[in-house]
Amino acid sequence: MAFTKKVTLKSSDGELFIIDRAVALQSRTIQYVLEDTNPVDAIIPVPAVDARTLSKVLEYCKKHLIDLNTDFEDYSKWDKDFVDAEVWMLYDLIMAADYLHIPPLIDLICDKIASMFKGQTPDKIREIFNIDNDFSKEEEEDFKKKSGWAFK
Amino acid sequence: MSTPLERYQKLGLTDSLPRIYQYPFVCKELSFILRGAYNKLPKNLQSLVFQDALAVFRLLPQMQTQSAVSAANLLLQSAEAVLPKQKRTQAVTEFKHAKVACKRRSKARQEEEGLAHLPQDVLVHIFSFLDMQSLLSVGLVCWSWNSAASDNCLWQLQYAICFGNSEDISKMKERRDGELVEDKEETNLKEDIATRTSIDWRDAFKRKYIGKRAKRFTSNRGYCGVCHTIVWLNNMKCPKRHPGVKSENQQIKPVSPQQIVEYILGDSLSMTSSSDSDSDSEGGLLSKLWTYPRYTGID
Repeated sequence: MAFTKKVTLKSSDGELFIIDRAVALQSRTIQYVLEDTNPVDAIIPVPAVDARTLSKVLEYCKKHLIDLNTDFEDYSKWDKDFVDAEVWMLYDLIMAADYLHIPPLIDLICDKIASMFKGQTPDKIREIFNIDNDFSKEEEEDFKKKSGWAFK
Repeated sequence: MSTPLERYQKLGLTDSLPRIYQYPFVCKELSFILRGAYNKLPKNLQSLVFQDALAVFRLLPQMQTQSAVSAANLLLQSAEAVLPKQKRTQAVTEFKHAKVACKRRSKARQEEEGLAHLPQDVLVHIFSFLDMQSLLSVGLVCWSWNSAASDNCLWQLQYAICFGNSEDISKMKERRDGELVEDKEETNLKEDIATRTSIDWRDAFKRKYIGKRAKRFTSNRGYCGVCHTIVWLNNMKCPKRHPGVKSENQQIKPVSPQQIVEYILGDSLSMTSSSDSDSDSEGGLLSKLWTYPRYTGID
């Protein structure tokens, strides 16, 4: 058979992850690679993701493969714990999920990050995420005025 | 005649060190003093110069410039060449600690800055989970977020969440043929859709939002046809992420507060039937869902 049961992924910092093919197939990026080249026992490089992040992503893929039949409550609790991480970890994860193209994981992390924005003022969001305000005073006033209709 | 110690102190190196722009100069000066004078200096001054060199390394992590790092490297080379063994080891250790701290700091900075530098498509996706007010707030954070938060698709989504699915507005209108069309905005929008001109959804949202202020649709809740529950409206997807269900079948239908009451009372058998793939019954029900806020408004 041309199909291998196992797939080896190589992170950006050179660590090897040997995982079930079915786990890897949750990433559309890897799915395309496997379909296109059908490598037998070959190593698939994942140059955009480091080992720490990749192991976390694979943890998600494994869980969501095994537990397809688990009931929703258990599922969402596990997901909630999974994204209960620091901002920089979420950043690494979203970039990895985006690169590997795992839509449910992208949704999960985006939802988490969005929940950190909800109900916050722009100043507070800048403070939490350490973002520089690159508007000029006039521009900021102008934008504030333009969105005033929603807060009346 | 002043002593070398007094002259050294007059250089004021210790005070200038913490200033970022002077730090590299102090480094260079110190490394010249080490190479050219250290062995000829009295013991007490030797130890002062050595302490200053250690202070240079200690301060390195606070300096974020490349010139500071290379100047500190230069000083290290001088220290290695001149200092006796014990002091040399001490200086090298101090320098190594400083380098590690430097790396940690720059990594932390990178990580903190991460969210500001997310690619636009990822930002837009994150913003699609926001409610309308939060979406406007993130638009005021910085320029790159502002352009992501102005994305037309996001506002189309907001329109759908607050006022019902925009794509079906024209279909709905046909169904409610006999009814008097009193909403001018909706007619405009319908015409826009019909003529396939591009729509500024943010603008459309704003006009409709202001127009409907009195009878606004504020439950921010939706009904998931797959798991038959009322959920918060996020991104028009069920937060429970049903595996194996195609995302287009997973759409959440906005519901009014009145419908939530009906749902709790178990009065909503018609609502549950919407999950059936039977397109006829779904059509009839949808029109009921969307016309609801209108009725509550008139009340």
